[in-house]
This record gives sequence, structure tokens and C-alpha cells, in this order.
Amino acid sequence: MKYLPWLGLALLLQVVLSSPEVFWFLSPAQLWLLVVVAFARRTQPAKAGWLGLFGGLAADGLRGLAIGPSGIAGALAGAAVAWTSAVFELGGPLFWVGGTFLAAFVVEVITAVLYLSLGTRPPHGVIGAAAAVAGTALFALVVAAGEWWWGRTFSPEARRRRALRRR
Amino acid sequence: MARLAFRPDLALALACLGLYVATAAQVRQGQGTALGFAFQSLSQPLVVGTTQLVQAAKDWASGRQDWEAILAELQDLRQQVARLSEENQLLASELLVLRQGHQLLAAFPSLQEQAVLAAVTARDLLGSHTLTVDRGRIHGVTRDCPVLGPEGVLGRVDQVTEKTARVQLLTHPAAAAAAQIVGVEGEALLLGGERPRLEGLPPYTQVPPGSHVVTTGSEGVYPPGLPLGVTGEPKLGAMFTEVPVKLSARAEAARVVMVLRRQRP
Repeated sequence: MKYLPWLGLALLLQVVLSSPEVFWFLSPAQLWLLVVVAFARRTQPAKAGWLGLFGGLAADGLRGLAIGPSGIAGALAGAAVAWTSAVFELGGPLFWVGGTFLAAFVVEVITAVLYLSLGTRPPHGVIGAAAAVAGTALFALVVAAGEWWWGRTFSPEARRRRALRRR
Repeated sequence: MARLAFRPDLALALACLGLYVATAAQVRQGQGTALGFAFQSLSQPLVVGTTQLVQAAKDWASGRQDWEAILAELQDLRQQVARLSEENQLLASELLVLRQGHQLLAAFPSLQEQAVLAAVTARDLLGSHTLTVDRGRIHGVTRDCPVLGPEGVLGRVDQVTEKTARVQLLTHPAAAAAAQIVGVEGEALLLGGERPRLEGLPPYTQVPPGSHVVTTGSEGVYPPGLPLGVTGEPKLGAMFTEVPVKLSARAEAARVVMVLRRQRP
């Protein structure tokens, strides 16, 4: 439940990114996926899938699309990331970049497949999907760098190192 | 009572299936669903508000930049005004100096050849009764050179350096000059001080007040005929007639003076 506020914040930022005042190449990024990926690190695939489902539904609603495809894709993406990180024991920047890349890729592929299976065109083509994957992975890089800096500055190991250096 | 318990993964799969059906319905209908409209009406104000917020933040940043630029420009303009005001004062001062120099040259045209115009750089009219001018030895100024203002004799040079000279005014207690009252026989000695006076005139000499006093040159410092001042009410002494003199030259107003170089024998 503690991830729900973060999900709301990510969706709000998603709206901000779609504003005409922000750089246009940031708008395809799906920030809500970052929250799903963060949740999927230490949880079961099904639970991560539920968060992905809610996040995807909200994203569909915010974009004015048919409500459902992104929810299904988000559920599958969350479950896939949770399963992958558990199996391959991913952590650190690799988890963030790899997990987000995987999640964004799954979401784009599943969404496209769902729309095509219903006999309609997906909301965007290959270039749009690639932009969404790249934009989301870019934000994952930023998050990974932030986490690395945070750990380097505020972790107990860093504090001990600083204390030893003072002596 | 029977209890239904779903496995979370199974429940997720069922939810996804339901969503797929719902999506299919939305796609088939093509006009949007009530849920879609609800989402739209909820999210649209959010989108618009966020856009306005971002725009406001951008406007604020832009306004702040403009404000800083205006402040910097104002500071720059203030500095320019201060500089221009200073230049204006200097120009006015130089103009005054030029005017006085012109007046001096016009007042004594016969002395132009030996004249050196000098600007007054310092003055002490009440203490040492001196002026300091910006011309010195390298300009041909020597000790005892006469110094004139536009109205008449100011004094003589008593100290000289390479580039400056000090002028002892006629108001100095030790100053003196050989003088003559225009229209009166005999030579007198003008003695300086706070109340300059003429001494050495024979007793009972009739001196009309307001008569002009000029130099005679017999002391070897001042050329003859230069105006010194005008006489006041004479006092008859036992041996001499003492005549107060109001000096013509006003040292307090002098910005430029004329130093007369001494002719080498």
C-alpha cells in the first residue's frame, strides 16, 4: 500500500511530462512503470502484477485511451520484472535499468498485441513504442544514479568510512 | 459456510481477462464508455491545472530573470549617471578655468609674453595666506615671480618645486610692495596683513578715498602699473599718513592665476 502514493505522484509527473512546456522527448516516458518496478524488487509476481494493473488502468484513463490494455500490460510487466529479479537476483543499477527496460518493453508489446487482437490500431507505432521504452529507461538511469549517490552518501558503510577517515 | 479463496495469480489473470473483454467492448462501441468519460472528466482538470502550473512556474522564472536584468540595468544606469555627473562637474570646472584664463589674458595683454597661466590646486587663505598652483620650475616659474588675478596683483611666488609653486598673498603679514596712489605724489609701501595699508606717505598727504593704488616696481618684484587696490579713509599719523587699502584681487575666487616669469638680466 505504501507504493500507492508513489504511483499517484508518478502519474501526476506523467501529466507534467505531457505538458507543452516540457521537452517533447520526455513525454512518451511511462513513469508509473518505475513505481511498479520498484515494488517488484522485493515482492511476489502476483502482487507486483496487481500494482501494474492499477497503474496501467490509471495511465490509460489519463491518456484518454480505452481503459484496459495498459492495465493488462502493466500486470504482466510487473509480474515479469518480479519473477526476473527473483530468478536472476538482480540488484542495484542493473536491476533499475534492466527491470525498467523489460517492463517498458513488455508493456509496449502486450499493448500492441492486445489492440491488434481486437482488430484496431495501437495508439502508437514502432517509433512511439521505442520512444516510450527509451524514455522510461532514461528515467530509470536517473533513479539508479540517485540511488547510487544516496547509498554512497548516507549508507551506514559510507558513514563508517567517513568516521574512519576523520581518525 | 463455503469460503471462496482465489490464488492471487489466478485472480490477476481473471482480472486481466475481464479487462480484455471490457477493452473489446470499448473498442467496438467506439464512442467511449462511462468509465472513460469519468476518467476523462477527472483527469482533464488535472492536465489543464498541471499545464497552467508549469506555465506559471516558467513565467515566474522568466519574470525573475527579467527582474534581475532590470536591476542590473538600473545599477548600470546609476553608475553611468554618477560617472556623467562627475564628468560634468569636471567639465564645468575646466570651463571655469578656461574662462578665467581668458579673462586674465585679456586683462593684461601687454604681459602675455612673460605670462604663465597656472591653475590653483590648493589654497589656505586664513592660515598661511598662500595659494598653491600647478606650475613650477620646469615651466619657468622662479621665486619672487609676481602672481596676478583678473582684478590685480595677488602676491608673489615664495616657494617653487619642479611642478608646483606656492604663492604668498598680499594678505600675508610679511607681504609688501612698493605702491603709488594714482593722482597723488610720492611713493608708499603697501604692507600686507589682514588689513593691508599704505605707509610711508608724507604727513598731511591728501588722499581721496577710492583712489586706485598701483605698483611702482621699485622693490624689484612687481612690474610697474599693476593694480593693487583702492584706498580707504586715510589716517593722519605723526610722521606718515597711513592709508587703508582694499585689495583688488580676490584670492578666494581665483581658479587660474597668471604667473609672470622674471626677465633674466
